[in-house]
Amino acid sequence: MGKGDYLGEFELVVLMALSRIDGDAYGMTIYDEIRNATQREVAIPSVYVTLTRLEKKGFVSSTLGESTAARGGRAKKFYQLEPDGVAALNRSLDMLDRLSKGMRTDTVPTK
Amino acid sequence: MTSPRHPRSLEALLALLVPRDLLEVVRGDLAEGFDRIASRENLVTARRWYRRQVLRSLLTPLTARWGGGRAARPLREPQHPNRRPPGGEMMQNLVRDLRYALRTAGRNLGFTVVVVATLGLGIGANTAIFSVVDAVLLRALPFPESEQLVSIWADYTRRDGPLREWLSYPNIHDLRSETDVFAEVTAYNDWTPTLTGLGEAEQLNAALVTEGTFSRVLQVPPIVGRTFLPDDDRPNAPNVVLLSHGFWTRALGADPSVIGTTISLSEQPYTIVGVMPLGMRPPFLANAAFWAPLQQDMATTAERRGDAVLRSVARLQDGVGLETARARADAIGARLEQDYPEDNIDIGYAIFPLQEDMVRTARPTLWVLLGAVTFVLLVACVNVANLLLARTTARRGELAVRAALGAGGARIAQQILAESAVLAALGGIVGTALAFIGTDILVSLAPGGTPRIDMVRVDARVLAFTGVLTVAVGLVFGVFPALRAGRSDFHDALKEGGRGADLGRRGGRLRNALIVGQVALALLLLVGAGLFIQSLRHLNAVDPGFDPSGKLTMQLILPSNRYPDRAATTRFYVDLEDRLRALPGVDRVGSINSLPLAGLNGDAGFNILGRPAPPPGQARIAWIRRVTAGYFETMEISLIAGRGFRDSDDPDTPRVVVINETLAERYFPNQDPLGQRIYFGNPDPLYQREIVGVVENVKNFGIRRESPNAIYFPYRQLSSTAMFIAMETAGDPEALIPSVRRAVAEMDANLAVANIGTMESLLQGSLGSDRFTALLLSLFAGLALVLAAVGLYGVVSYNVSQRLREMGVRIALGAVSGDIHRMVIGRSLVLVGMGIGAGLVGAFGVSRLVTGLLYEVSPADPVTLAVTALALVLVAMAASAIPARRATRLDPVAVLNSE
Repeated sequence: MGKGDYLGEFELVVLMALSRIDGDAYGMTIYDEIRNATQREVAIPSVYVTLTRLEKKGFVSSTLGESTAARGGRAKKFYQLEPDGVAALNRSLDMLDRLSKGMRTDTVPTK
Repeated sequence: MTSPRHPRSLEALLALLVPRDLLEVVRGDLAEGFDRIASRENLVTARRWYRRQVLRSLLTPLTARWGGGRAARPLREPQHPNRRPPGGEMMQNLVRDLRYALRTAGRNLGFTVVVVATLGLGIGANTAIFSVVDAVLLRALPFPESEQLVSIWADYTRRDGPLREWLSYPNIHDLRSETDVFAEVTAYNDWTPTLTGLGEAEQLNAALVTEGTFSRVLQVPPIVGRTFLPDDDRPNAPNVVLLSHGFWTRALGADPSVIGTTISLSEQPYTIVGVMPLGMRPPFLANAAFWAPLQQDMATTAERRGDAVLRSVARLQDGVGLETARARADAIGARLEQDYPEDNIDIGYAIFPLQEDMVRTARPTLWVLLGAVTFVLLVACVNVANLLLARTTARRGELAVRAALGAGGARIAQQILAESAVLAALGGIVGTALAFIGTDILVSLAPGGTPRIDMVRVDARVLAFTGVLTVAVGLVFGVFPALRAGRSDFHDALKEGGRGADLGRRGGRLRNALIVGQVALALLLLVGAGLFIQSLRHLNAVDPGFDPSGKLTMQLILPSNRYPDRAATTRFYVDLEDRLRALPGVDRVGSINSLPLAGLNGDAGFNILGRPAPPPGQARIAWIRRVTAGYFETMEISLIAGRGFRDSDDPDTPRVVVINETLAERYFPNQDPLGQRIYFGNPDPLYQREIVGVVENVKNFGIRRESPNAIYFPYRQLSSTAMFIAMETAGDPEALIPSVRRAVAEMDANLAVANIGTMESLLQGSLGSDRFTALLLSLFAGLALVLAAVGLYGVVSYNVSQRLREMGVRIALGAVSGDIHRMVIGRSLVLVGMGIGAGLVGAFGVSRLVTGLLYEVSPADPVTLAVTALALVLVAMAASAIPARRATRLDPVAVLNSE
């Protein structure tokens, strides 16, 4: 297992957000999910950067939706988690879990 | 469209960031978000959100990039030959690096401002100096095949005389006959006629030239009318005049119908035959308002081969080189020496490329200034390099991450170089702006008589220079940090947690080496400025032989038609002096035909009664000056022996002269010159003149030149139509100008008062070039000193911060603040000492190049060297004192705990 098999932080965030959305996962809903859960402002284009990368790895797949008038006539792109993605997500979460066990808080730099 | 209100420009910007296949989707999401916020909150918030979305995408360079295959995109692109992005990896990297560098520059605004200002000053100063160098020294003369143009002088070096002496008409004529080598040879002379009939009488600068000057030598056609024809140039031909564009516009309203009409010059009618184009300035007597034919020929001048009263420029035949021309001129010269030994013995021709010859006086100064300003730029580059090195260290956490993500040393070096390039480009832009201002200032400060100074401008050529300079500068200051960052081992950086240590000990050594170099350069500049200031001080201290304070002078030229003889001119000047003397505020009045420092010619060979005539070529030569009785007292030229002139020294009394010290010492070393008799040519007792006085030497040819032999004649015994009148005034000399002008006009309303001004300004003007050089060099040296001090401060501060722990230990072990002080300043003085050592070695080498520009100052002047070295040491101590003090205030407990 090479080091590339673990997910980057933002990849992890995006995958986890995707797993929490039921069926209707596209740019804005993923953005809302991340923002609500992490209280972090993210850039939608950056989200797509990561989604594109995850799609290339086979972790997610996408389908282009119909044009909707509400978005200035622009289509949505829907994403869904693939089995490989679920596996990668679990692998990373397990690793974090293992790492966090036995961690002593006083080694964390506090300054 | 539901949301026409979100920012279109930002939407367009997205196209740069987002791949095409996702662009519409991303825009759709952003439009949706915008509409939602706009309806729930308000338009302002929505716009802000949209803006931040786009800008945030710009500002996420490391983690968020398209097309990569790993967790975070490494700086080195993955090697997928089939998926290579269009445009090539290099280009993509470059564009990305530049974009990132711009953002970095924006984020560290203080740092960027300091760097850009430093570089801008350096580049701006260089560009400004270069614009002058280019216009004055480098640019070809604006004439067809200008490389064929040469200047011709008489070479008197074998007579221990100057290399560039004037020529006689016959000696010029003999070269003109060599038509296979010289296409045309001109003779020219200055001419200062008085223009009347067009408003107030005005004395103008003009030139007399031979007829082929414009048509065959300069090869510039007139815009109206014609230039001169051979018939115009014969003795006693009708007077014609060719106008410069400037004079035609100013005096005649640029009216083309003036061709064929006449203007009155020195009260003679001259027919206007043509007008030269705008900006056409001949490469000699460039401020001439108009030109007239010289009207000499061999028939009238053949007997006057010794009258060196003309100057010459020529055009070589096609395909004839300088060496061929010189060889031919040498042959002619040798023949003339044989044929006319009386006049030509030991005289040769000296031929130079015209452009080189024109600018020879300005060239050494300009090269020195260009060299100095280049040093300033180098010092600035070193400063910036040091700043970048320090920042590279501060950013080594970021760089370490990049390296860990797979970026190679070369890739990181490239990124650092891109940042340098952006900084250099910004510096270049600021520098260009400063150059426009600097060039104007330089031109206004430039000493009078600087050739071609009116051609100076910041144009495409100069801007190209700035561009090249900017690139060079970016490389010079960017290469050190780039190499350092590229070669660094980042394992240490990661292990140490991103704080504290340098990028390795070599980084510190490099920084110290740069400081040594910077101090050395600053010392060089300081020494240079010091030498020129010393030189200027010596020049100011030179006794010109007269007292310039409170003296007003002016020039008058009497037209020969109304003042036809000696009696008329004498009467005029005697009356004028009386009138001026009666003016309130005027204490003394005296006149001379050529003012000190102005260096007008007028020499003659003389003999001493009772001594054998010297052989040809070794004649006793003296400068002849005609003065009125009041002149020596008015100018406060002291009498060393005998008497000055009296009003009674007139045509009815024995002829007398007064000589200067040089002549007295040279020809009467061990005897009393008073009572000795001299004569000029004719030894008849009637023409002998008795020496009745000796006066101190006067600097007639500028402060630097020794005073040659001079013989003064009493004006009443040897008159002149052109005289300078000097007045000693009680108050401000310039306040008298109106009443002086009125006094002249009351005597003759058609006389033009020319060159009216104070002797002080004449004296100051004669030192203009020295002051210009000293001023600019001081400016550059001051700039370099400040930059070096800032650089030193930065490095010492940095060194202190690196050794906090050590100092904490020392303080804990009982070191008192004095010890710490000594340690910090001592270490910086070691660097400064090395810099001074290197600088002194350099100064010995470089200052030799400026010897010719200095006056009575040795390039190894110990005072200058000592003072500048001391100044640098003091500045270095001051620059190190601040960080040193900070070090002494350390709380050892806090320092030791923090690590």
